[in-house]
Amino acid sequence: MANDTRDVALLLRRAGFGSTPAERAQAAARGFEATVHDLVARARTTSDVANAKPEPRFSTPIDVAAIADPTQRQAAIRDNTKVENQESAALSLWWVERMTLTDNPLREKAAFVLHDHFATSVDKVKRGALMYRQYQLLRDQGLGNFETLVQALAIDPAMLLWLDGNDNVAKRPNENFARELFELFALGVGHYSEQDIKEAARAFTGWAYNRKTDAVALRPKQHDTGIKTVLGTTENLDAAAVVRIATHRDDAARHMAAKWWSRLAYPVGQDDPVLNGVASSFAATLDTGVLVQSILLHDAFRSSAARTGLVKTPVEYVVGTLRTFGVAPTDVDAARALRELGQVPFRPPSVGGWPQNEAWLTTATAVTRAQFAGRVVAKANLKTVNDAAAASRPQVLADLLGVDAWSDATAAVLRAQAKDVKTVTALALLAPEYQVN
Amino acid sequence: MDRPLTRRQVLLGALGVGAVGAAGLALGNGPWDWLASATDPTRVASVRSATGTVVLVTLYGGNDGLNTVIPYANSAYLAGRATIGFKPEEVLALDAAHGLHPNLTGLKGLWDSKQLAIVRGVGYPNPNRSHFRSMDIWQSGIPDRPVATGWVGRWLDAQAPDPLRALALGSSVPLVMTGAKTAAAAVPTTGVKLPLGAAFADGFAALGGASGSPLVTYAAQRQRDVLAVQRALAPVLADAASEPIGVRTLEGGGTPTSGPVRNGRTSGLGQQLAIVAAALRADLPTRVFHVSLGGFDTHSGEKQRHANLMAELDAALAEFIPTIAKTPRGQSTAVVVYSEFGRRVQANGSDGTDHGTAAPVLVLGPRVKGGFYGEDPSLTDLDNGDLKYTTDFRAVFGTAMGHLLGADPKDFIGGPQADLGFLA
Repeated sequence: MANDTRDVALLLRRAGFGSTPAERAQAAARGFEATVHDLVARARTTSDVANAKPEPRFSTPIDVAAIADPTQRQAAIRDNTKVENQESAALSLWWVERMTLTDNPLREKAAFVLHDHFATSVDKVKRGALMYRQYQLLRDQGLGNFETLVQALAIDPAMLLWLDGNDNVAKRPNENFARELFELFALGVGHYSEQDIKEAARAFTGWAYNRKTDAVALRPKQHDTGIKTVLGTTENLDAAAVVRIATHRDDAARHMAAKWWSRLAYPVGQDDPVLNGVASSFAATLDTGVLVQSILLHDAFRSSAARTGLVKTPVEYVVGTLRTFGVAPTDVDAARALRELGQVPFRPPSVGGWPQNEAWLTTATAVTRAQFAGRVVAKANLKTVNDAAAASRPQVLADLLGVDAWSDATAAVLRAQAKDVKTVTALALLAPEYQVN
Repeated sequence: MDRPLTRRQVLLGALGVGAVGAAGLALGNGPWDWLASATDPTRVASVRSATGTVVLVTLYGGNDGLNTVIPYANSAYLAGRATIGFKPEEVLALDAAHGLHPNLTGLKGLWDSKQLAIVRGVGYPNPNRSHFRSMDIWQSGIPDRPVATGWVGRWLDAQAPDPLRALALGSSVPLVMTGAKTAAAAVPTTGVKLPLGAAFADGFAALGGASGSPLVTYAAQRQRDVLAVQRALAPVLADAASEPIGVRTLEGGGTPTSGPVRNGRTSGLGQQLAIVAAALRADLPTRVFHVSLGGFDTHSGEKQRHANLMAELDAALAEFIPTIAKTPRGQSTAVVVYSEFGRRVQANGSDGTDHGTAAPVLVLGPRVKGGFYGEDPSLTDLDNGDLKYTTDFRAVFGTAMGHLLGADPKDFIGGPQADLGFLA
């Protein structure tokens, strides 16, 4: 692959879900920098061919409190649970389908990075409708102002249920949200004290989501109006004030710069000097779109460290493969693959989000990827591979999958199996060079 | 096939693995040779003569130690836990001061037969109340700074490579079993099946090869490991399916619990332990197993949720210990049950408990010298509302490492080390 094509291939993988040879050729002709600007500008619009896909639907749960008979109430609870499980599974699949369709890839990718960052699970929230609402927030505001986003998330219904905001009352503050806000969402470990968490939790007291009215409100009697000291500021701080203080810390800029760098280029800690420039420019505006753009335009984004710096997450692997072969998620049971690989959208394992890199390369995930690849080659139209002469199939597959080059060992395997179109294609999908890129 | 079958190929055929081609032969000089001699008396004797085997049981979410080993005679206990505490008559008394959670009936039996050691007040200096950081501390064995390796992983790095030396049940490998250049194999409880034909399996294990990129090399190595693990585990998984463990939890109305687990998912604890028991019966060369149970983050509605978890834990462990005691390998095996932290003495306003610090570690098995170890933490002399630890967790893991892995814990864990005496 020519250098400029390799660069845009990398860009379209990291800032999206991969590219077809035609998309790469077009982007290479347009130029790397112009393509970055195009991607970011488009991600700030709502335009997307995937908008034609119907929105997910959610039913209203049965009001079990209104049922007097205990047997009927138990049955209603079971019915609610059944519907919740169906709707949350459908929602996960809906998002995967949307990712395979999107022509505004950075917007959708950013939503997924932020879902991983503000990791909230339907496992506890239960109601898919609330997860969908949070997803819309991440998608529509994710590349805007960081403080605005966190202000909205602090009183987002799913978040209030997920981190026990409903239980956080003046008499007995629940620290769950305050702790994760500082540790995971905004500042990073070591950039706040235990006392900051205790006092911040008091500032968030009283905010709750009411399931009956489906509304979020501050319950004044449950809110602690006393003086609090958080990160050096002492006054009657409320929720908005704590979010404002935390998101405007330099530590927040470095924390988020490290997160985006780690998802777009290669994993770094927030003290890594490579972040100095991008973090300080982000601190000036808190504009996440600008942060993402500055990372994509950074020299180190196109370094060899970055090119082999990330293992495709299961969602990236599955969605990228489906897009390449034009296969629908339901044709190959993509939901099962993601479940077995351990990355079901809307169901992160914990508030810490999903792990990265080596964690996806276990013997167990290798087997699941192989099984998925087997289903893909059984369903996909492999005409492009089939039409090529056996000797050129390894190269055709590299172009199709956007792989810069096969290693000698992989090339030898692919050459040896080139006569069987299904086997050679499945093997290409299992090549470490495709998984790590 | 026109060349004569080797003994190993015959065995592989018997296990339902396809023809052995280039990749299979390439494995011939590797650590996978053990399978060729699966029933070879010399190999079996060598595996059985190893110092021992560790089964780590990780309870994700922060198990409430005070409602597991209950200081029922201490008035400060119920004073802090009016709605979620247990009265003296409810606990399974171990002595005049301590009792087990009422659902731990099987563990009470193991206590009575001196096969359960309870190490009290286990923690570390400057406790961290983040699930992730604290679990990383326990699993890395290094409290003062984040590191990318675990104490079992560093031990693995020092051994001859063998993908079967450490096995993590589930789809992911926890930090504790991750080394700098190697890691445990993850074994899904559903088994290891590759698609397409033998040509695919051969190619699959040969892809990538050595590379300038550490991640590419790592990915390639894991795919080679798959074939080794597949061949070894196929008969073990079949055996495990025919000898289930802990099934009465399901029948008793409780459901197997899964919850916030840092690195992936859990499946039923009994299902995982049944595979461990079968692996010990099969004399696999595995020296460390990792199994897990999630859902212990009981900030609200603790009494019922924790009771279900205790029932699942009890059903699985109480059946696992006598099962493995029947095998030579099981005789030298010990189970270590720990969580990233305990919970606060005082209940919160949601009938639950928030993240705390020190908690008991349970050690079970035929090699265990039953009884209490370590000092009880005070329920009134607290650090910011939390228990002050009395025993460093590194000495607990170090004791297991010394006795069961025959390694010097100072080389792999560090920290204050002393033989706590709970293993024979």
